[in-house]
Amino acid sequence: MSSTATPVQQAASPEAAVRPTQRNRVLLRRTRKLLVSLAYVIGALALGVIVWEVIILATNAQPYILPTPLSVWQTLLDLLKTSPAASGGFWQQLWATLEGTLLGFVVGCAAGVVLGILAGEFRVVRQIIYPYLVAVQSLPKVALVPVLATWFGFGLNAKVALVVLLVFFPVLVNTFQGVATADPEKIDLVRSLRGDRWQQLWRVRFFSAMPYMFTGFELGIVYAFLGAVLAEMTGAQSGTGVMIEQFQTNADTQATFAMLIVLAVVGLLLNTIVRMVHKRVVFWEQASAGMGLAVTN
Amino acid sequence: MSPQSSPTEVGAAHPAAGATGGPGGIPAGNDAGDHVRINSVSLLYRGRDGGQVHALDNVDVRIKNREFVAVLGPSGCGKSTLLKILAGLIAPTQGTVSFVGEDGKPASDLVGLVPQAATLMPWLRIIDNVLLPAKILKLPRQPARDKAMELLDMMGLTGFERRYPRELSGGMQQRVAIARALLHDPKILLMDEPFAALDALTRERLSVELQSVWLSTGKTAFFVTHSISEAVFLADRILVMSRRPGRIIAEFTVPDARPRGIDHVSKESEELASVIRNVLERDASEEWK
Repeated sequence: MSSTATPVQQAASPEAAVRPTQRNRVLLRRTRKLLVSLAYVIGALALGVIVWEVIILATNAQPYILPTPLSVWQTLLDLLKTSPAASGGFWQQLWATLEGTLLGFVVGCAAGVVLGILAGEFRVVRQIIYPYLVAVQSLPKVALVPVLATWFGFGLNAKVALVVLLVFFPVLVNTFQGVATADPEKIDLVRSLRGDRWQQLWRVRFFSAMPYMFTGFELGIVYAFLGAVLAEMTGAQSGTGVMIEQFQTNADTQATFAMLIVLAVVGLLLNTIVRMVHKRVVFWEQASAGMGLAVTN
Repeated sequence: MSPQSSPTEVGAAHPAAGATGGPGGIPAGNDAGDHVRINSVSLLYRGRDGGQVHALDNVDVRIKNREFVAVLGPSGCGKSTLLKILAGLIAPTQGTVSFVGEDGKPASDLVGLVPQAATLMPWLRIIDNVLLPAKILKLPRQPARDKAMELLDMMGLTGFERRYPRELSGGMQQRVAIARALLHDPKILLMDEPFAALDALTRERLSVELQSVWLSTGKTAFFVTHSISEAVFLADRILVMSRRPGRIIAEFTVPDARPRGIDHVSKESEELASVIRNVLERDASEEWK
C-alpha cells in the first residue's frame, strides 16, 4: 500500500439509494395498509351506529335524550350547508373557535419554546419557573376561566388567554427536557472546537430539542382546541362552544350531537396537521421523544 | 523479544513532581520534537456518593510530532478522561498540558476529535457534518467546502455528501467523523475508541484506512482503545494504564515498519501483544487481592 490517501472500494455504489421500482412497491404496500386500516375505521363506525340504533329501539328513548343517527346526520348536513357569509352562522362560529385556538396555540408555543430554552440554559430561570410550573400543572385550569373572564371579558382575548395557558406548559416542559437532555458527546464535540454556549445551543441543543418541542406542540394543539371550546361554553359571544350551549338550552340534542361530531373531526384534523408538520420538520427523528401524545383533560 | 519492545515500567514510583510545573520546568534535553507534554496530570472529582474519585494519578506523557500513541487500559481506567483533558474539555486538578509547535514555540491547542460513537448531527447532511468545524471556527466558506470534498474523497465517501447520517452504515459514519476531525487541519487527532461500536471486519478495514490517513496527513495521533491488537497494529508507542486511579504502568514501542498490513503481523508484535496482555492481567488480578 502506498502512503497516499486510501481509496475505498466498498463505498463505490451508494447502497442506501432506493431504486424506483422498489419505491413503487413500498408505495403500493403503504397504500394497501392505509386502505385496510381505513376499512376498519369505517367498520367500527358502522358498528357504533348500529349499537346506537339498537339502544334507541330497546329503550324507546325520546329524541331529546338520544336522537337517531339519521336525524343527527340531517342536522349536520344542514349545519354544513349554512352560507359561510351568514353572520352568526355555523361557519363563522367555527371560525371564531379556530381563531382562538390558532392564535392561542401560536402564542403559547412560542412562549413555551422561548422559556423552555431559557430554562434549559439558565439555572435561575429554571428555579424561578419551577414552583409556578408545579402549581399550574396541578391546578385544574378550568377553574381559571372566571378569573380570565374578569380580566379579559367575554371576547377573543379571554379565549386566547385560556388557550395560551393550556398550551404553554406542555410545550415549555418538553422543550426544556429536550434542551437539557442533548447528547453530551455532541456538546463535547462543539466544545472541543471552542464553540461557546451560543454555538452549543444553536448547533446542538436546539435541534436536539426539536423532537421534544413537536411532542409538546402535538399535546398543545389538543389542549388549544379544548381550551377554546371550553372558554366559549363558559362565557363568550361567539364560537362553537356558544352554539352547543344554546342547543342544550333549547333541548336540541340532535344539533348538539352534530356539533360534537364537528368538533371531533376538526380536533382530529388539527392534530393530524401538527403531526404531519412534525414528521416533515423533524425528519431525522427515529423513536418518539418526550412525553408522547396523551390526550387527557 | 526485540529490545525496543521491553516494557519501561513507570508509574507507581513517581517522584513527587511539582504540581503545576509548566513547560519551563522540564529539562530541555529530552524535548526535541515533542508535540504534547502532559505534565504530572491528576484528576480528582466528587463522585455521586459524595466521596472523592481519583481518576488520574500523576500522568506524565510526552508525545512526539507525528507520533501515533495508543493508550490501552481496562474500562473506567481514565483513558478517555485523559483524552478529554487533552481536548480541553476537562481541566486537570493538578498538572498541565502543553502543545509545542515544530519550531519549539507554544502551539495551538485545537484538536481534531473523533468520538466513540460517530456523533454526527442527524439533522445535517454528510457534507454539513464535515463542515461543522468550519462553521464553529468561522473559517472561510469556499476553501472549507473544497477541503471537505477532498476529505470525503479520501475517506471513500464521494457521492454521499447530500445524504443524511442515518442513511450510512456505522463504518461509513465513523469515516465521516474522521473527515470532520481533519477539516480544520488540527495538528493532533484525538480518537476515543472510535471503532469500538463496529463489527470486527469493519474495524479492521477502518484501522488500515486510519493508518494511511495518518501516514498521508502527518498528524500526531492519540488513540484510546481497549483492544490490544488494534493498538499494536496502529501505534508507534503504546501506553498501558492501570485501573483507577489511572496511571501509566507500562510503555511499549512497536517496531514494525509502515505501512503495516492487517493480515501479516510480525513475530515481534505478536509477542508484544502477549506481553501487554500479561501486564493488563496482572493489573486486573490485583483487584482481587
